Amino acid sequence: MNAAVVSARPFPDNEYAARLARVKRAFEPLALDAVLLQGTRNWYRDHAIRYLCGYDSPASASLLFMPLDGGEPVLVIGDAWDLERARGISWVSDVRAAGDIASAAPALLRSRFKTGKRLGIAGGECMGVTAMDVLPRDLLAAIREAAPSAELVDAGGALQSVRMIRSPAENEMLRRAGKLADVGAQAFFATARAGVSERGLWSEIWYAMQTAGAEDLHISFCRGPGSFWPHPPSDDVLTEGDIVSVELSPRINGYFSQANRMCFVGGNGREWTDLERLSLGALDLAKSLMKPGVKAKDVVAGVSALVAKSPLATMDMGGVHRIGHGCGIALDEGPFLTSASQSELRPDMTMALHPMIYLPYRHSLVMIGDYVRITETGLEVLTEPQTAVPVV
Amino acid sequence: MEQRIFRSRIDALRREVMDACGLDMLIGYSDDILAPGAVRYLTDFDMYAMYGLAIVPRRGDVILAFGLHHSAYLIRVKQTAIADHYAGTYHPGELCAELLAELRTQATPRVGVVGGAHMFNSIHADLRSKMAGASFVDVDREFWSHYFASFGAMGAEPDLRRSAIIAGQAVAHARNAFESGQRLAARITAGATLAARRLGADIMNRELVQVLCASGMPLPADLAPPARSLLAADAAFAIEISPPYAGLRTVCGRTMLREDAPASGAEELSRAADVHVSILGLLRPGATGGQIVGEAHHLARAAGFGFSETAELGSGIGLDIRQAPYLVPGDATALTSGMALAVRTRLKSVNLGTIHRADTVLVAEPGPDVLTARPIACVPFF
Repeated sequence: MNAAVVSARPFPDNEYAARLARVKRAFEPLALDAVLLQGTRNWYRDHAIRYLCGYDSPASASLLFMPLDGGEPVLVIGDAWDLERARGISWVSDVRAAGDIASAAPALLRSRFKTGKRLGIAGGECMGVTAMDVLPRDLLAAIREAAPSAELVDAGGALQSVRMIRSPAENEMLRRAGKLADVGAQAFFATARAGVSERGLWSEIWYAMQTAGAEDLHISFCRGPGSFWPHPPSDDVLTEGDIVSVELSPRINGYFSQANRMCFVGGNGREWTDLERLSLGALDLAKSLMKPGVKAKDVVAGVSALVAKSPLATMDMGGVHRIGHGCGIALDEGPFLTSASQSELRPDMTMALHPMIYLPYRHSLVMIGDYVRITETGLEVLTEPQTAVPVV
Repeated sequence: MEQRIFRSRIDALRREVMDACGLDMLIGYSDDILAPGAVRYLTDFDMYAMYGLAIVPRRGDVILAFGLHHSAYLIRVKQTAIADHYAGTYHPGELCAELLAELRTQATPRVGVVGGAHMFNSIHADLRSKMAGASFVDVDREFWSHYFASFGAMGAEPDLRRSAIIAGQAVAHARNAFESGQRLAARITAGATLAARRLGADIMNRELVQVLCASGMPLPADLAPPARSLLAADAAFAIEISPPYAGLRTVCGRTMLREDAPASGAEELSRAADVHVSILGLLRPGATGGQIVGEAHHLARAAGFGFSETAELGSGIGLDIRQAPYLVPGDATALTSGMALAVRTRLKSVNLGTIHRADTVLVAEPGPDVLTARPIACVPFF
C-alpha cells in the first residue's frame, strides 16, 4: 500500500514456471505433500510469495498454498479491494480474498490437503528468524485444527537456497535496481552538507529514487561519533567533523539493490585521507577476492587483515567481522559475508558488499559498498563505484 | 513521550484495565510497523525491530522487549522509546516469569494479552512455557475501550490534528500536480509524500506515509498502489493519503477532475462531497457501525448514487491504520466520544464511476469533529 508501484506482472509466466520447478526440486528431500507460504509487508517479509507468484502483499498478510503433487496453487489475500490487481499481477488462477488469512486456512486445507502428511511452512523468515518462528499464532492454530496429524516442516531454508541464485531475468531487474541506487547516491552527494538534517537528507534521497522509478526503499545512516551501526534518520543535523555513511536500498518490482556511500562534513586533514584510503581500499580488496568457489569467510579474513594494519580501525564488532550479505528479493538474506560464514560464493549470487569498519576512537563506522553479482569468473559491479570520499 | 505521560498511561492502565480484569500482567504485542497498537501507546516504540512486547506487571518495572538484539539496536530503542527496562530477546518468557514471581501473586497468575492473535507462535509458545502456571486471556476489547475513553485526556489529540493537517496538505499537493498536468500517478505520489515528510510526517528507514490511488474514466471501485502507467488525458484521479505524526495516523482522500472536464462531472463531484459530509454527520456517540452504514446507504441512494451495501465504510484509525471499531453492516459496537474514525465513502455515479472521498473524524458529543475537513491551502515548503 505504501508507495508500492506494482501494477503489472513483473516477470513473464515462464520465469515463474522455471522458479517453481527449481523450488520443487529443492523441496524433494523434505518429502513434502504441499507448502504453505506466508507473506507480510512488514520488515519486507513478503519475499517468498513475491518470488513464487509476484504478489506483493501491499497492506495485509497473504497465503500461498502450493501442492507438490501437480495440483493448482491457491493464493489467499487479505484485502478484498486488491483482488483484481492480485489476479493481474499473479499467474495463479485461483486467487481468493479473506478478511483474515487464518480464517481462510482451515477450509483451504480441508479441501486441498485431505490426505497430506507433511506440510512445508515457508515465507516471512527474516534476520535469522525462521518461517516456523514467525508463523502467526492464529494461523498455526488454524492449521492444527484443519490438519491435526500433519507434520509441519520448515521449508524456508530450502526456498532461500534456490532464491539466492538469481536467474537472468532477475539479474536484469537487479541491474535496474542498481541504477536506482546510483540515483540515490547522486542525491546524497548533492544534498549532504552541514546544517541539513538526517530527515531532510533521507527525504530528498528517497524522492530522487522514487521519481526515477523505485517503488519502495530502505535507507539508513551512520553519522557522527557514537553512530556505529546503520540506523533510521533522526532530526539531528549534519555538523562539521561528521562522517556520514548512507545505506541506499531502492526496490523495484520487489527487488532491492544496495549501495553504501560516504562523505565527510567539513575539515580536511590526515584523518580524512587515512579513512578514505582505508574504506575504499577495503572494498577494492573485497571485490578482488570475490570469486566463485571462494568461501565467504576467506574474503572476510582478507579484508580484516588489511584493516588490522590501520591504527584507527578494526573489523571486530562483537566478535564478528562483516563485509556484506545477500540482497535481492529480501533486503538481508543469505549468503551472509561474515567471519563465521560457511557459505561458498557461487555464480549469480547477488550481494551488498560493504566492509563494516569500526573506529573505536570515534565509536563510529566507515562503510562504502557496492551491489555486486558473482559471475563465472569474478564479479559484476551493479552500482557505479565511489572513487573518492568528498568533503562537503 | 515524556516520562510523566508514560507514567500516567501505565497508572491508568493498571487501574482501569488490569484491576478491572483481575490481571497480574498485561502484555501488548505487535510485529507490524503500520499497526504498532498497544506497544506504541504504552512505550512509544515505533516497532523498529522484528517485534515489540510491552510488558506491564501489576506493579514494578515496565519492560519493553524487542527483536534484533544487537546492542546497536538497543541504543536506538532507548533513544526513541520509553520503559523502565529494555530487553533485546526472542525469548521474553523467562523475563515475564521473573516479574510474576516478584509479584508473589495468586497461585494462578492471570496474564492479559493485547494484539496477540497474530503473535509469532515462537514468542507465544515461549511465554506459555515459561509462565506455565499462568492463565492467558485476550483483552483487546478492554484495552481499546480504555484507550478511546482516555484519548482526550492523554494529550495525543494535537498530534492527531497535526497528522490531519499533513494529510490534507499532501492531498492538496497531489491535486496541484494533477491539475498542472502531471500524468504519472507515481510522480504525483512522490511529490505528495515528500510534502508530507517535509511537513513533519514520521519516517523510519522506510516510507511510512501510505498512499492509495485510482484513475480512469470511469473511476474503478477500488484504490490501489500507484501505477507507473500514464493517466489517460480525460481520466479522473482519486488519491488517499495516510501520514503518521508522532505515531498517530489520519487519512484524507479526494477525487479530482481536470479543469477542462465536462461541467456535469464537476457537479456530480460536488454532490458526492455533500453526501460524504452528510455521512460524516452520522458519526455520533451511541451510534453503531451497522446503523451508520444503513443510514449512509439511504443518503447515497437519495442523492442518486450507488452504494455498496456490503463494503466497509470506515474503521477506527490512530495508532493503527485500520483498527476497531469497524463501520460495516451489522456491527453493533456503539461509538463513544474520543474515537477517531476514518470514513471512506465510495459513491457509484453513472458518469464518473466510483467517487472516492475519505476523512478522519473525531467522535464528539456536540457533533463530529472532521479533522481533515479544514480549508486546505498549500503551504509552501521549499
